[in-house]
Formats: sequence, structure tokens, C-alpha cells
Amino acid sequence: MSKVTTIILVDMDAFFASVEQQCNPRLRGRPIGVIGSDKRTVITAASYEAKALGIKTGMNKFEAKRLCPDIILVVGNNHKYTHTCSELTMLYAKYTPDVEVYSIDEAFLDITDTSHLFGGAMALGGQLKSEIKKSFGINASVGISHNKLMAKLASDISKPDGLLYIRAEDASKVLEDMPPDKLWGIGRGIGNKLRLMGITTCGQLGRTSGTFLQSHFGIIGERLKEMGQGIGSSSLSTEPLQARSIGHSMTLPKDIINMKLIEAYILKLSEMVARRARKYGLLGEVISVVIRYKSFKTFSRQKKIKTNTSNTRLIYDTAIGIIKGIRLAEPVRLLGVTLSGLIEDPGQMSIFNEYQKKDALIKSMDSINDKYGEFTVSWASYHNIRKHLGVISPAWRPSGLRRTDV
Amino acid sequence: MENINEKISVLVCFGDGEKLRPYRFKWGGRVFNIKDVTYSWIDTLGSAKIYHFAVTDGNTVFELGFNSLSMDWRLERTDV
Repeated sequence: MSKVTTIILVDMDAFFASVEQQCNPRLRGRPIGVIGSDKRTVITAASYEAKALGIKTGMNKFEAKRLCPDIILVVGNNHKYTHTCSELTMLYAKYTPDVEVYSIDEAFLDITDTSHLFGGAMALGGQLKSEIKKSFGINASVGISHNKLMAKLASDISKPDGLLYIRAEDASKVLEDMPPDKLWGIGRGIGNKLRLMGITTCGQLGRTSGTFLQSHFGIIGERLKEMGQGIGSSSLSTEPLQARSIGHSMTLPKDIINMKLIEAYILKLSEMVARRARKYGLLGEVISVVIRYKSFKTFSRQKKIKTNTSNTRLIYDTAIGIIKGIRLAEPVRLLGVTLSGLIEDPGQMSIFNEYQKKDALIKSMDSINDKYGEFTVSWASYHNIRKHLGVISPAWRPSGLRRTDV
Repeated sequence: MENINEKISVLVCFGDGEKLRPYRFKWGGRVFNIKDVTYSWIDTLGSAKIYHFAVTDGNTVFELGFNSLSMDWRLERTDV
């Protein structure tokens, strides 16, 4: 008899806020919002007590205070969260070698071949939850099912602090009256469009003709029908994804139009990108710049250069060249630099003396920064903006090229 | 929480269930007994690992940091 595929989704409840409440007992049981350190910060996580009062991720702190004057705003510490994610990943490996870290607070585990060692899927899920609580003092919701889509739904339904197993034979019953936008991958936009077409439940979606859905949604039409039936992938991406690009961006403390300041930010971003490329032995030949105006209009421009590089100066010169070719129509709110077209650095030395000297200088800077910390030695022109704190990108992972400094 | 970042002396125990646990520290001439280590995490500063501990003496929350390279302890932040 073939084994039934069993997937678990572990989703940490209000992750950042729970970590902060665990750190500081005075925050427990109270409405808190985790924010960034910048002036223009937003709520990055809200505790369940704050969520009950209407506080949502993405709200700015003034909106949050207006809605809930008693909310306690806590400046987040990304190192706590990334460290906890790395530790959780090690904990998951005790239950199965097949783990996909989907985001900083969610991971899929394939327990098809290991659940019997722990007394079955539900027992394993319960044990995992208790171990997380014991080790970190925080709650996780665990969803179990035969594929990732249904495991995610089980976890969402059971939140907070839940444990739910949706067996394959029960899937259609669970889905029958479920609104389609409760499914992972169906956003509010598609949900609204389906509603206008009279499709208000997953049961209806699963019975709708694939051709009809394709005529309205294009290529994803057939997939939507399958989702309505609870059909989804159970294969996990357990290997670190091969990165196709290395990029960094920052929302500036205030909107700027001054070219000198823009140059300073671009130099800092170029150094962050180049440093990460050098750390992982990669070179790239396409440099892109992303600009977001005050009005939130966002666009990017790119340039392919004649050589593969991880040299800060070359990336910076190219990025600045791109910006100087654009007539900035508004003050700039966000800047980003990306290096793509990546190849492994063959370690070939330049035959030109000038480049040898520049490479030697960068190597020396890298070794000092490796020993004493990032930006111990840096370019003087961005000295005054060096204290910008990073954010955890959705692409952050606990290992490999995507483990960025935060 | 207020940033402090001052060197402190700490009474610790290595290898007692947890790998490293602070029990008592002295700051500003006062001794604080640690009732509970509420959270711990690690980050790096260059080649040094920094072991951070959120602790409480029952009244106040403190964040302590141990630098594995310089082997010193700092009171990083407190909500005093």
C-alpha cells in the first residue's frame, strides 16, 4: 500500500510581536505593534491583542495610535527574528529532513516517511508545537494535510495556537462553503472577480468549468478550478534556491531630489550588493536601478556592462550613469540597486595594474569588515547615512545567498 | 527601551542545561539578580559572535550581550 503524502505547515503566530512579548513580560497580554526604527515606519507585526482592536500590518504608526491610543509601539530587532528562524529550522530537522523554509515565519515539512516515528501526524504536530513553546515561549499554528495548499488552509483555520489535520477525504467537505479568497494564492482581487461572477465558495469554484474560468482569468483558470477542489502541489523546495540576482533597496528617511545625496545612497547600496556578491563568489553583468517617487510611482532601468563584476565602484558608476540619464520628475522616496546575470567568479586576476590595485583595496576592505563588522571601513561619501537599519525581505532565508544581513 | 551600551561584570554559569546563563550583574554600583532569562539570540559583529540575553530581575527588563571575541559583557538596553 502506498503511503499517503503528509505535509505540515508550521506558521508562527504574530511572530515578531510574540518574540517581543516573550522578551519583555510587561508586554504580554497587551496590544503591541512592532515597528521599524525609521521615521516613516509602519507596523510590521501586531500582537493578537492589537489585531483584535483593528491594528493591521502595514498601518503607519499614527493611524495605529489613532485607532488604539493604548497600543505600545516596540522598535523591532531583526536579529532576534532571523536567529529564531534559523533555530526553528534546526528544530524542524529533528522531525524530517524535508523542510522548505517558505518565509521567516512559515515552513513546510514533508512528514510522509517520518510521522510513524512520532506516533502519527497529529502527535508529531502536537510535539512540534510543544517544543517550540518550550524553547522559545511562543505559539505556532500547525496545519496538516495531503498537500501544501490544504496544509496552509488548515493552519489558517486553526489560528491562533491551533493544530488541525484536514484529511484528503474530508477536503471537499471543508472547502464546500469556504470563500475562495481564504485559499493560499487567491487574493482579494481574484476573490472579488469570482464573487461578481457568482462564485462565492470553493465548492462552486471546483465545479465551474475550467474553460469558463480560463476565458476570464487566462492561463490560471484551470489552476483556480483545481484549487477549488483542494488539489495542490506537495513537492517541497528543500534546496536553497539558486539566486538569479542580488539586490538591495531602501526607503529613504525623507524624500530627496539632491543629486549628492542620491549618489551617497547609491554608493551605499552598490557596496551592499557588491559585498554580498563577493562573499558568495559571484559576478554579474547587468546592473539595475529602481526608483520610487514620492507619489509611489515606481520604475526600474538596467544596463548590461562589458564585463562581469563584483566591484563596488563599477556597479556604482553604472548605476549613477543610469540615474543621470533619467530626468527625475519628483522627489525620490526609495532607491534600489540590483546585480543580475550572475556567474561564479572564476578568480581570474586582471592583467591591468590599475584594476589589480582596486581589487587589492576592496579585498583589504572586505577582510577588515569581515573581522570587525560591516561598514567598519567604508566610503567617506556615505559616512553620514551609514546607520540605516535593514528590513527582512520576503526572500530572506536562514542559509545561502538569501541570508542577508538585517 | 533605552540604549545603554556599558561594560558590566556578570556572574554566569557555562554548561548548566543551557550553554551559557547569566545569573547576576553589577551596573552603576548596584547588583541585579536575574530571576528569568526571557529570550536569547545570537548575531555577529565581524568575526565575533554576540550572545544576547533578555533578562529580568522581576521588575525591570535588561538586554545583556556577551562578545565571544573580546570576552566582555555589556548592558545593551533596559526599560528603566
